[in-house]
Amino acid sequence: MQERLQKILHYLNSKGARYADVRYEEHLQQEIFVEDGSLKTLSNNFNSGTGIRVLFENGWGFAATDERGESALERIADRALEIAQASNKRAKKPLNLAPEPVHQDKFRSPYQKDPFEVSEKEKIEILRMATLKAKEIEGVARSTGSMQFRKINKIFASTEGSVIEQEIVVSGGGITAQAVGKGGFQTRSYPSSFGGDHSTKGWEFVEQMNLVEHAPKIGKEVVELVDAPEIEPGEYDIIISGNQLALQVHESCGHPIELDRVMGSELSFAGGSFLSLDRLNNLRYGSDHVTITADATIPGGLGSFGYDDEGVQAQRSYIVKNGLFVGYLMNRQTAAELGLRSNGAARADSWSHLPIIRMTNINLLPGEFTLDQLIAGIEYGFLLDTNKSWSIDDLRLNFQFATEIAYEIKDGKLTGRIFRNPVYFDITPKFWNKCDGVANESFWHVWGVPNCGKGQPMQVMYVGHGTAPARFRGVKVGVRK
Amino acid sequence: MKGENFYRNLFRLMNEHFTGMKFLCAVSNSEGALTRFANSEIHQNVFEKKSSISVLATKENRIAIATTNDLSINGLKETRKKLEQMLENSTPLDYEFKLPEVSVGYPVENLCDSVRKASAEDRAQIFDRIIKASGKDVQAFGYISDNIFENAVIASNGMFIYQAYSSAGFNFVALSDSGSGYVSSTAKGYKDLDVDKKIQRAIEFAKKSKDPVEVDPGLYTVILGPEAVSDLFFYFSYVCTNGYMHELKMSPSVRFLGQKIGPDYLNVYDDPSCQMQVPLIYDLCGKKRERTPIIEKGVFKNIFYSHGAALRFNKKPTGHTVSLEDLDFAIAANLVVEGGETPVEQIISQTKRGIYVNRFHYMNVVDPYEAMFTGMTRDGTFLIENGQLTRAIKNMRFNVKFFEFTQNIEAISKEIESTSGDYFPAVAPFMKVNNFNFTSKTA
Repeated sequence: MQERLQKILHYLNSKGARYADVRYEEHLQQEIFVEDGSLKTLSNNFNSGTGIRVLFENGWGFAATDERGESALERIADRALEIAQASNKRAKKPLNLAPEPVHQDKFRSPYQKDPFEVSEKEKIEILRMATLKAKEIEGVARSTGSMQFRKINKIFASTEGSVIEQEIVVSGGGITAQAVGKGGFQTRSYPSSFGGDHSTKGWEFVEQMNLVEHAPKIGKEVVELVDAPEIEPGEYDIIISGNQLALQVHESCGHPIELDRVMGSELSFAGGSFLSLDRLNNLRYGSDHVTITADATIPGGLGSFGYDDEGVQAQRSYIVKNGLFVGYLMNRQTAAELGLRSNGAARADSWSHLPIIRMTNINLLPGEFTLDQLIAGIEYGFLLDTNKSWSIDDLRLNFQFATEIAYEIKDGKLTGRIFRNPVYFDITPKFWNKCDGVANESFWHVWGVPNCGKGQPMQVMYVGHGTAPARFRGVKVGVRK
Repeated sequence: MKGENFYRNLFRLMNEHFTGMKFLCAVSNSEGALTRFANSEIHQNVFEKKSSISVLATKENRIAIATTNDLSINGLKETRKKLEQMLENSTPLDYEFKLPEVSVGYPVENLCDSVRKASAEDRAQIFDRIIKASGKDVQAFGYISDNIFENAVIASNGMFIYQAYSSAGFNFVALSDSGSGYVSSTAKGYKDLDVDKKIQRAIEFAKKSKDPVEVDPGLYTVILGPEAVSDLFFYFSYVCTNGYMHELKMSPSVRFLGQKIGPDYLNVYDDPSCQMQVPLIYDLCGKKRERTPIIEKGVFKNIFYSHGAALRFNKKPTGHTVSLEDLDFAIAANLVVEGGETPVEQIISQTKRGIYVNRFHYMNVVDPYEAMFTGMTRDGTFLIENGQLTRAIKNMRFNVKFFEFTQNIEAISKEIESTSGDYFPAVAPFMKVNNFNFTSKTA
């Protein structure tokens, strides 16, 4: 295949392309979904294809096909070139790519047990047992469990001479319990909602979740939750758990630091960003407790890889340092505009799509507190756990999150009382400046978010967020209905 | 485009290579191109061509699904081998599974020449028109796209369904010094998009948006543009019309189906026959889709049953199966909110005080049981004073319960428009609604 890709690059060079890269990818995916002990879905999906990106003078073109054979590749290369020429006719300014060393390398995400070597029977049985355990609890109306596995093999080659082969394995899963009562229907999830937790580790990641063991707890909680009260709207001191904080980081930090958003490329769809260029190294994004990195090098992080889809090596860089906003996520084109090296955030979800700036692992670094110490610092407030809903404005300022559950804190202790339908909202920098403590490394975990949507055509990317529970003072909780 | 004969041949090959296996398969092929622009420049220009075949095989009441984009004989043989292994590992369903009944239907081709022949240069020329209309004071952002889709449904019981259709779409954000406007449209072909006329509204809104003022949260009378109406009714359709969730008693439809939820002139359909829609004539199980009332004369009339949910709960499938992987999920693909009697100009002129909302951003479900939705305003929010859009206002967050929203509808415009939507295109009018709950502002 490498030879075939090189041939296409030579062909494009001979046609006058200023730069070109080509990606051949094979994606294998498995999904299992079980409901109340019965299998609902067992599916396997394999697809492969080639995407070619061409820069003709100052215009980009991209074309992709799943057709096989040399003539099909040549046809699609011609198509990409023709598109680049149409773009170039309207180009107004020179387009540059930040320099990147030539890489000839192979990368494999580190995993112990290939999830595709584990029998479907074993996976189904775990989900069957877990959902039955949850359903055993009186009052549970429905319990679901799912697992998702992915193996991506890709070859990248560019006219600059880079040739990179990568194999990335993704494993994930989770369970839910639902109950219906006078307070509507409620859901509790483990280890997180919307499909659970995901990682670029192997089967061992799912085994460590102990889904069966955790099923009764979410069953019991959800039954209590349907009859639980709602929080009286007001301002409270809150602790946000790691799995919810992952979404909080994702929406209010991960997206606004994408430099293509900042420069307007996403304005007509996902929106822009309040983190305009004049705010770099100037804005107090958060309190001193808030330090955030973009790190594609963490073993197992869902946003980890060896090289991005422009052939830039995976990196770790600061985004927020002790509260000060200091960095963006970049690709080679946007980095060149700032005179910097790309920090390797150009990613495509498939061979059929062009790489755009995506999150890698955007991590809130751990602090020094234990969870008990964070709780001990609250006179009256709540611990909010597990995301239920999210929404944020087009500049990523005004956000509102709902969580599955709120645990009451009184006089520095959890009281055992729970509340349903908690909602909190704020304005991004105001909120992060209210952070007065992050839990330490032993509470820190890289959560996988496998469904981040961006771009047109829409791309769904898997990204990670390292978080530990954190405390925030005086946040508005509850919505006037 | 592969053409009907390709799929007829595939039907023959499937029956040859899957002998002895009960199967249902959904085959698709698409060719799509999209030109994206920002800051009045083309920054992304792409084309993709892809196919796939998803085969659902069943044996002893077990099912398994394998999908591949290798449609060669070798690819089909590998798929069969994989399915046999999966069926061995699978466990029986908790309801009696049957393949869908054989649909009898003519092959459908809804293809527009404007899409069939479109090139990157054609899309760039539409971009040129947008830039010219925007002038030097307005920056242009958006996309122009065209797609050709082919779907076939093939089953071991002899079913063969084929449909091909085209679509063209665009959206456009006009950005001035201090404000923005937005329009979008999706249609069968380029000439129905109405680009030149629609972009004028976005440009006008952008120019009118200077110096936005802050408004306190609270209950307001609003006039929602078709983009905002489409989004609200899409979320209603997503949360409230899935028969599976209804049977589990986890849908608001349990309380509201059959109830009068809005005024007599509120009519909402899933309508593949609507000329302004991109029609999906058959669903993924080959079921012919009909124009179905969802809300008629203000009454919540119907919910939808996918193939799996219909089998489970002894209902008739309604033509809303959109995934073989989730046979229980159903949704309307051709949502049409009908227009009313009053011109929008008249609705605005009769409004003493209120807020005009052009578009919502990032809607989501806060509480599925209550059908409570949240989101932000965006790209054209104005104060209405004494029958006129007077001043731009800063964006606001809303939290509304859908069934309170419909009870508060005061007027529906005669004019309807096609909108691109985040998931499916929709057709919708302008709507005047009282007591719309804005809960926070961006400041």
